[in-house]
Amino acid sequence: MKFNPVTKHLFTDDNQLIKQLNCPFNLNWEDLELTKSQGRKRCQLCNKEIIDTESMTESYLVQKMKQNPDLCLKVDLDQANIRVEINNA
Amino acid sequence: MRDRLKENTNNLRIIKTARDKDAINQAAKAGYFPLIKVLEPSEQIRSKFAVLQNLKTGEILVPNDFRCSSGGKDYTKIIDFTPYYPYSFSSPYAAYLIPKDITAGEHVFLEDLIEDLVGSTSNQGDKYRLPGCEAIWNGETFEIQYNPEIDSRHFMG
Repeated sequence: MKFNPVTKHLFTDDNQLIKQLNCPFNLNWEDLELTKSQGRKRCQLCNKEIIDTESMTESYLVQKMKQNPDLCLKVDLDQANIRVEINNA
Repeated sequence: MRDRLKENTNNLRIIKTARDKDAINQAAKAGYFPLIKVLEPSEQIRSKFAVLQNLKTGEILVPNDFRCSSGGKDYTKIIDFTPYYPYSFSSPYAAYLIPKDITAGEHVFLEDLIEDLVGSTSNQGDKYRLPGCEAIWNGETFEIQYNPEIDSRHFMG
């Protein structure tokens, strides 16, 4: 996957938009509430689940976003399945 | 964190930002007082780019990630990884839109920070802007409640 940290767009490797991450709050992932599912946490501000993209395939994420466009995602710039790409460079 | 969550759950007022003359004047006509600030790009905020060129076709690739530093056998690195400021804005100034009924001491949320504060970092040395932050209105300006201790590797939303 490709992630643009300036616009916060997350794309598949073939440039299909998965989501623009748009949480304005500067939250600590570690502080969010655990859920029963591994790789998912719950945000108490919005009461939404957040999926950690680190262990997910891009096809899974595309499918999940189609099912629920309001789903939140978490991206770490250092994770192995992400490449940083800023289009205006 | 729990206090912070509680505060936000109590619906902190969101302060909007206008990024150009038209937006500022429109907000002023709508009854807001635009608190004008100059954009001051921080030297801390940095990404990087390199340019790889296919010397047969002339086409280029512009990677921003060390993990993409090779474009394949046809590409030659013309510019090695070079730091740069990756943001651009429509004007060199912006304004927080102050509502008429704001009171000194009010705790708010600045939705689109004008100030450059580090929000995210990577292990490749890149640092990106913090998009929004809580702040306290002191009657003249906002005291930004920036917490550099927040783990800033993550993007969420």
